[in-house]
Amino acid sequence: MKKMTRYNTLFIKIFVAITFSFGLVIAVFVYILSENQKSSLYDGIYEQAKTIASSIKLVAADSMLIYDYSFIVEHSLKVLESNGELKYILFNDNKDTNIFIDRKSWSLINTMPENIKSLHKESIVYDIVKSDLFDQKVFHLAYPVDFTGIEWGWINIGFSTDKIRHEILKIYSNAFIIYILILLISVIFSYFFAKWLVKPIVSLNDASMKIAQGDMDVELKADRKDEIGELIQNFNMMAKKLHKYTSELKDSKLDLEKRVEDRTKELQELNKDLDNRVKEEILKRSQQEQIMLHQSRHAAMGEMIGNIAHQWRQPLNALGLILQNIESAHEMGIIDDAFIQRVISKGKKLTHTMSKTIDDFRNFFQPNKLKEYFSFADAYLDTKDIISSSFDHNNIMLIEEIDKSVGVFGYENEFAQVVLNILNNAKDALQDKERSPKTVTVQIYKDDKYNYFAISDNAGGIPMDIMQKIFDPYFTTKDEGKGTGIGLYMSKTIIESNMHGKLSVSNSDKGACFKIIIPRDKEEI
Amino acid sequence: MKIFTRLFLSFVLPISIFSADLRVGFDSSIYQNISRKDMTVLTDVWLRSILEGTQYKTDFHIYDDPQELSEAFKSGTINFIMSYGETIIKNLELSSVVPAFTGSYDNKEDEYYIVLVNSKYKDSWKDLESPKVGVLQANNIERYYFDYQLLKNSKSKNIAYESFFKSSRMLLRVFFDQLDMCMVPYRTYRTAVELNPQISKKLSIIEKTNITTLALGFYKKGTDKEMIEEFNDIAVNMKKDERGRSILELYKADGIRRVEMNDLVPIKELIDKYNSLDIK
Repeated sequence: MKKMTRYNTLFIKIFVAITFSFGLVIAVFVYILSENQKSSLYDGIYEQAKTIASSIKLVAADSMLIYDYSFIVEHSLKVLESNGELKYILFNDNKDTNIFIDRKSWSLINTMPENIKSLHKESIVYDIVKSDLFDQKVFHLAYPVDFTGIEWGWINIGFSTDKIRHEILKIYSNAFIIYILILLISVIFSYFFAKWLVKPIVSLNDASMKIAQGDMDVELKADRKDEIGELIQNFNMMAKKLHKYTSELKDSKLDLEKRVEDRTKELQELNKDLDNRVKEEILKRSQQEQIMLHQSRHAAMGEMIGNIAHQWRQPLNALGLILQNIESAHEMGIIDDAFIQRVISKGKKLTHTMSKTIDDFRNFFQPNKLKEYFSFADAYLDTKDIISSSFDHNNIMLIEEIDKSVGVFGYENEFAQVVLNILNNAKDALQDKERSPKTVTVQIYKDDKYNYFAISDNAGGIPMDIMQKIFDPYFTTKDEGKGTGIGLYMSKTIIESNMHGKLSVSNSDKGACFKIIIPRDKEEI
Repeated sequence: MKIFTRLFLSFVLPISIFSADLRVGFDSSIYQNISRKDMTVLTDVWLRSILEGTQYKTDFHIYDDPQELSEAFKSGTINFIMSYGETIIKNLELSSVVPAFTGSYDNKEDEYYIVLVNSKYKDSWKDLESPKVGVLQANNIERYYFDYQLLKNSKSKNIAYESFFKSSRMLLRVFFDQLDMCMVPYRTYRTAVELNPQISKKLSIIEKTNITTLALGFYKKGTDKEMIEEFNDIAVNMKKDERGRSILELYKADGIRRVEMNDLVPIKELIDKYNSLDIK
C-alpha cells in the first residue's frame, strides 16, 4: 500500500504535469484557431454587409439624391425579403430623416440610438450592437454615403448574428471535440510516458528500500541504454560494494564488540582496584588527619604547658620565697601564729592562682560541642589571658583596636585557638628580632557584610617565596622541635570549613598581617 | 390585376394549347410589373400539372394596345378577354360578353379602390386646390375619378398628376409628402399600414369606393357553354386543391371568384360622370 502510494504520487505528478502541459498548449492552439475562424466569419459577414450596402447605394442613388424615400423603402423591403440574414436597414440622411426598415415593418424614427450614432464615421464601421430598434444583437455596419462631395448620410445594415453565433458555436464545439480528442490522446501518451519514466525510478526506490532494510541481495535489470540505464548499472555496482562493505563492517563490528567486551572486563577489574585504592587513600588521609590532630593536640598541649609554665613561674617563685621566709623565721625563732596564718594565707592565694590557671587552660582547650553566638572581643580576651605572660616575657606589646560589638555564630573555642595560633606565630617571629618596640596589633571591626579580625606584627613580614605555602600542612620555618607546620593549616580549616569565612595573609611595610573575614549573619545584619 | 392574369394563364393557356378551343387575349398593362419571360416560365410550369386530364386546348396572345385587344375579341380572334373594366365598358358591347372569373380576396374591401390624402389637408376635398396626385399608368379610372371629384368638390382644375407602375409607391410618396393624394386598392393601404402603422396617422382615407381594382375575365358570347363551365369550375375550385392553394399563395390571391356584370356598373357610372364633365 505504501509502495503504491509512492508510485502513484510520482506517477501522478509526472502524468499530471505532462497532461496539463499538453492540455495547455492544445488549449492555446485551439483558442487561437477558433479566434482566427471567428475573425474570418466576421470578415465574411462584413464583406456581405458592405456589398449589400453598396448595392443599395448603387440602386437607390437617384432616389437618395432627390430624397425619394418611397423607392428607398420599397427597394429596402425587397432587399430584406431576398436576404434572409439581413435583419434591418436603417437610413440616416443629412436632413436627419431616419428610416428604419426590418423584415416585418418600417418606420420613421425621430431619434437615432446613441450606440448606432457613434458608429457614423467617415469610413465604414461595424460592431456587434443591441439597440432599442431591434430586440437582439446584430452585426451592425454603418456605411457612409456620399455623392461627389454631397455627404448624403449613412446606410446602416443590421445583419443577423444567428449564423455567426451558430458558426461560432460550431467552431467552439468542433474545437472542443478536437481539444478533447487531442487531450485524450495526450492523456494516453502521458500515461504510458509517465509509466515508462517512473517504472525504473520506482524499481530503484524499492531496491534502495530493501537495502535500507538490510537486504543487500538486490540487482536490477539494466536493459535501458539511456541515463536511467546507466543509473541502474551504477546502483547495482553501488549495491554490490555496499554489500561487501556491510559484510566487512559486520565482521569488524563483531571483532570490536569482542574487544570492547574484553576491555570492559579489564576496566571493571581496574575499577574494582581503583575503588580499593580510593578507600585506602581515604583511610590513609583519615589516619593522616588523626595523626595531624594528635600532633596538633600535642602541640597545643606543649603550648599549654609552656604557657602554664609561664603563668606558674611567678607564684612558684613567690611560694619559694614564702618557704625561704618560713625557714629564716624558724632559724630566727620568730614564728608565731600570726606569722603562720599570714604565710598560709599567702600560700593558699598562690596555689589558688595556680589552680585557676590550670582551669583557664582546660576551658580554653576544651572543644565546643554547640554553636553559639560569641564576641570576637571575648574570644580575643580569653586568648590574651593565656598568652599575656608569654608576650610580657618577650617584651611584646599588644595594641588593640577593638569593636566589642563584633560577633559571630560558631564555635568560640575553635576560633580562640585560631587567634592563639596566629598570636603565638607573631610572638615566635618577634622573639628573635632585635627591635624595639615589638608590637602586635589586634583589630576587630566590621562592615555591612563581613566581620573582620586582623592580627599584624612588625616582624618584617613573610618571605614572598613561602607566602603561598604557609597554610600547607607540615610546612614550618621554625627550628625542629619548635614547630609542627600544622597550626596555620588547622586554623585555615577551622575558619574556612567550619565558619565559612576566609583566612588570608599579606605583608605590610612592617610585617605580616593575618586577616580573618567571616560573613555576617542575616539576622545580625 | 396581374394576379388574375397569372392564375388565368395557369389554367387556360395549357387548355388552349391542347384543344385550341379557348383563345385568350391579355391586356399587357395588367401585368406591367412582370416580365413576359417570367410569366411564360411560370405559366408553363403550372399549366403542365393543372391541365392534366382535360381535353381542351388553348392559345393566348398579349396585347399592348387595349383597342387592338378589343378588336381581336370582337372579330373572334380571341374568345376570352382579360382586361380592366374600363376597356370592357369603353370598347365592347356588354351584351357580347359572358362573365368568366377573376382573383378574389377574403376581405371584400381589398378589391376596391380607396382615396388617400395627406392628413395635412384635414381629410377634406375642399382644401385640395392644386393637388399633386398619384395615378397608375395601367388605366384611366383613377384619373377619371380625381378629375370628377376634385372638380366637383374643390373646383380645382390645377391638378398635377404623376404616374406610377405600383400603387404602393404612390402611397409612400403621399406619406413622404411628395404627393398630396392617391387612389389605391384597399389591400395596398392595409398592407402598408401593417408594415408601418405611422401611415394610418399620416394618411387619411378620404373616400372608400365600390370601384373594383381587379382585371376581369369575359368569354365571348357563343363560346361552348360546357367548356366555360368546366374552366369556371376548375378556377373557382382551385382553392380546394393543395396545388391550387400553392398557386394562389404564389400569386398572393385568396381565391378565384366568378365575375359579375355588377362589377362593371361603378366603372360605367364613373366613366359616364367623367364624360359629363365640361373639362374636355
